[in-house]
Amino acid sequence: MSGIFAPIRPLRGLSVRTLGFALSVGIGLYVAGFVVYVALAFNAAARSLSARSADTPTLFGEMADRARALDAAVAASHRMLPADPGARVALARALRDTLLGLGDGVRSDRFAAVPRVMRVALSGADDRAAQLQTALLEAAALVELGRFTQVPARLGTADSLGLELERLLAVAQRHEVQDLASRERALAAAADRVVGAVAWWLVIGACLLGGAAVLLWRRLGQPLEALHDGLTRVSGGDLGTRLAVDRSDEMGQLAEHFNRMTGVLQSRAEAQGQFVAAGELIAGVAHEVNNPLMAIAALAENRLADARLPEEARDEVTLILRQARRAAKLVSGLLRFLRPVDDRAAAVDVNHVVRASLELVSYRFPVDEITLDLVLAPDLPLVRGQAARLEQVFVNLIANAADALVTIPAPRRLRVWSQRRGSDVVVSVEDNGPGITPAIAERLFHPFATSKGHGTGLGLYISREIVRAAGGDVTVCDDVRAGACFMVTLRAEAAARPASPEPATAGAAVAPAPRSLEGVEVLLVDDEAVVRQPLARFLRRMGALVIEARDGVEAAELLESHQPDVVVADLRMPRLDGPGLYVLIRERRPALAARVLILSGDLSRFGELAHSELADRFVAKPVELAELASRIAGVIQAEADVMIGTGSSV
Amino acid sequence: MALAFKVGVTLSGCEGVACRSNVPGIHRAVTGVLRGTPRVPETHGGRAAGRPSPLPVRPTILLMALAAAGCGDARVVEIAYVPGERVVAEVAQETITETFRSGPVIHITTDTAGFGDEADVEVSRANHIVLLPGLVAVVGHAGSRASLASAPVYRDARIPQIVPTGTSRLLRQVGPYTFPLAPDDSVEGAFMARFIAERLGARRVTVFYQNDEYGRGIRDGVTAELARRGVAVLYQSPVDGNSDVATLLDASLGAGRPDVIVAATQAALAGRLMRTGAARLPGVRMVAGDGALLLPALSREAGPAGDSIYCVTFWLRETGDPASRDFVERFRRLSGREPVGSDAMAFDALMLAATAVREVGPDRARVRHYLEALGREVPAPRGVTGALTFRRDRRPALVMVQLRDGVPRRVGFEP
Repeated sequence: MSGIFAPIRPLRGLSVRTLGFALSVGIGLYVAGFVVYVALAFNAAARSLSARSADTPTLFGEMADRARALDAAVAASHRMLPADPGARVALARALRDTLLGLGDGVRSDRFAAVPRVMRVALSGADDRAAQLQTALLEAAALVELGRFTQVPARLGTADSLGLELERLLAVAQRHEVQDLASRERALAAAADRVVGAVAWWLVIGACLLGGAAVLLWRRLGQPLEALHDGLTRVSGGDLGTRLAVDRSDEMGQLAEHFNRMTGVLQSRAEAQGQFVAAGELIAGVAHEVNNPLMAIAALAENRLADARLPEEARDEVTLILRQARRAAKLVSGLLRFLRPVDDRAAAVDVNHVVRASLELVSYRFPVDEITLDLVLAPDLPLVRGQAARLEQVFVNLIANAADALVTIPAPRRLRVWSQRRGSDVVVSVEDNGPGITPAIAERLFHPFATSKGHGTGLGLYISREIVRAAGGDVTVCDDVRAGACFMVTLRAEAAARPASPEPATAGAAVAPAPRSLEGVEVLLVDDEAVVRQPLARFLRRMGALVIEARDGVEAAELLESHQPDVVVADLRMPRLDGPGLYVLIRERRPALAARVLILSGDLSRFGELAHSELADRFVAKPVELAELASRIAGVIQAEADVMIGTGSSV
Repeated sequence: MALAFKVGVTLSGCEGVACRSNVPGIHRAVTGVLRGTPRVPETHGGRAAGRPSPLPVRPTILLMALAAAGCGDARVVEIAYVPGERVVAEVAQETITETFRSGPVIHITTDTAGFGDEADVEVSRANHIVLLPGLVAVVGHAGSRASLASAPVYRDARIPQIVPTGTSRLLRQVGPYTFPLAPDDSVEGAFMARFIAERLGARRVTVFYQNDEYGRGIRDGVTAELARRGVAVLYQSPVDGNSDVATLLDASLGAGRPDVIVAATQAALAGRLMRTGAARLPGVRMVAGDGALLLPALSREAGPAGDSIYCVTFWLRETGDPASRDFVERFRRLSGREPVGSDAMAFDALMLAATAVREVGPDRARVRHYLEALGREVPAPRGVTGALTFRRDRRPALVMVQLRDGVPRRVGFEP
């Protein structure tokens, strides 16, 4: 066990988690870097295009409007001199008012946002506009003053300034177009650069991604695939599967854990195989023991039926019969414990299961000086579960308690009691042994946890799994005075009736023992004469006509010449066994098939035949003779009831 | 010569030093840029466009880097002063060197390459200035239009810009990185109008204005206050360097004879207006904005009529506090002339930038925050022109002066 729990080799080198984190960060940085690059590559050009595009045309538009107004003023100024002398002054004043109404020029701070080449032209145009405005005002002033001879020179200056203004605006406009085109070219160039960079980025990224994929495959994919293959082989039953531990990262640790797990499973499977073999051996032995016990019991009963038997001999035979029945009970319990379990849940009387469990273990109590205090509540409801598995749970708990008790000096007390607690049925098993050590307490219900020094350490774990599967739980009692106490809690069936104090035995209902089998013809088939003959004598003494056969083949031959009412056949016989004989009867004598009883001491086969039409025909060896008579009477009566219902006669 | 000598010393002396060798871009960028800046012809015959310039031409490209001590100091920071009278930078650098004996070595890089009247020149200049390694703050540009044109560049580069003399109210709207030190044109215009109405008792006024942000701003400030006081504005007209001032003045008389002519122009134009006005309208007086008080240009252009001009200034050298005296003495020594209000404002702006760097370190964001907090969380330092804050409720240091024999004299009129 220490090998299983030995520490795994520590991580060395680059772990898978670190590798994954590094790859994630690397990919994130690569993608983020790409996005940042694209943003930066476009940013300058795009901002240049958008920021300037808004201001410059607005400024240009305002200046163009001002230039048009001044151009109109220049035209108006040229109309002053040709006008009538009386109108000249009026025109001059109107021109002056127009010029003063033009408003102020462009604010100087607006030029800062204009590209240099345009700014020179635009600011020059702004200056020319101001000069032109002043020149025109002077021309108007000259007209107002009647100094007409000076006006043409001033208008000439105004014309020159107007032309210069127009030229500068044209230059600005040309630069505006060129500037816009250059910024568009810059943007296009940026776009080209980005496209090229994107292509490179993608190629490099694909290469890096490929490298990362290869790295991940080698570090993660391959080990996972090997693990998957290993798990597939294990699930297919190959517990000898081992993985190569050729790395020191998490996957290496995983492989190491896997190997240890399969090692444990393999050793457990081998141990379990031994247990199964032992169980089969015990089942076989039990069957072989049952037949002698049956013979002993039958002979004893036959002897006791003889009224002439001396008293002393009667006492001895009675003792023989009692011990034979005791042994038979123990064997039947063993067989029941070992037989394959029916997986279907059913209503279970917990008290009955507890009693059956105690029957299996109680042989230890006198020897180990264990005093049993059994208190079973009489009105417990049924619970849903599998009786055989629950019996396994209680046997385990009681056996554990007995094991614990032998480690302390007497008095040794075992207390088992059942009770109803709300909607639950609770069975507690308490002992006054050494109790649960702190070392084991934390992993009490874990697999392989044991403090006994022997055993598998699976008992409590399996017990709790069984009870949990039934919807209950196994826990340690809250209030333990001394020793250990385990509590099995099972949910009561909602619509279940309280369990009867004496539960019915498995199989068909047992009718009262008849006083006579007078006139009933019984074909008794058993290969062991020592069993068959006492039974035959008993049946004859009951008035029955008994035909004996040593196996199924002989019985089949006898059926050609006889018309038995009942066939009682052993399960295991040479040449043709009981079920085979039944099949044959069902084919040849269908009416008789319903009146076939199967005797067997091999309860292990009950499971496989439990769902067949013979399910209620089994009579377990050793059987009391009175019970056998009852079963024979029962099948005859049942057949008679059927015949009456259908109008047929037997 | 002294300036050229210092530049030479600084550059040659630092070439082999690690801290400078890793920032050669400072010198290459600035000198290269400034050498490439269009040079303004020093005549009235016209600027790049060939038209006559009414404005005095500033010295051409000059890089001045005055190292206080130790070129190896890794905390060398730059303050750009552009464009302005270089002597102001010399005075400021000398004062910084003497005053800030520890802390970061503060260089003042001076670009005096012409007046940036055209917006594109100022924007280009600013675009190159912002490339200066170690640049923490900019003092400039000169005038409202130039400062306004360049402000978005500094705003986008997150460089604090202290505007020493620009008065346009638009400067307060251009962004959180522009700090105009002078009172805005609405305040100045209102001050002028109040003087016109109260002191001069004028009832009729003619307004001539330069057709840019400065001139229009003063025009708006003056006319608004005059209208409020019931003083008639007979005539308004823009003027520029090419204008026939006599014709415009004659034409204005058609609207009536003014008691006062308002000149929202620079010095030369104001002088021409005054000379022409005095000839046409004997006894007329002129009130001009701060832009006109540039000596000796104003008195030279105005001639004998100069004594009839009243000008607004933000500082007058007769102020007798120790800081002003020290500034005046240094200025006289280095330039050989008397400082005027624009010199004092530029000096204060430079010293304020240096103080900010000293207080919060060479960090643009911290400097900006410091400037913003002046007068609030941070006590306003005392400058030559008064307490230095950028709060709107700052008491304006407005002084009305009258030229007498070419010298500005305080007129007893409080703002």
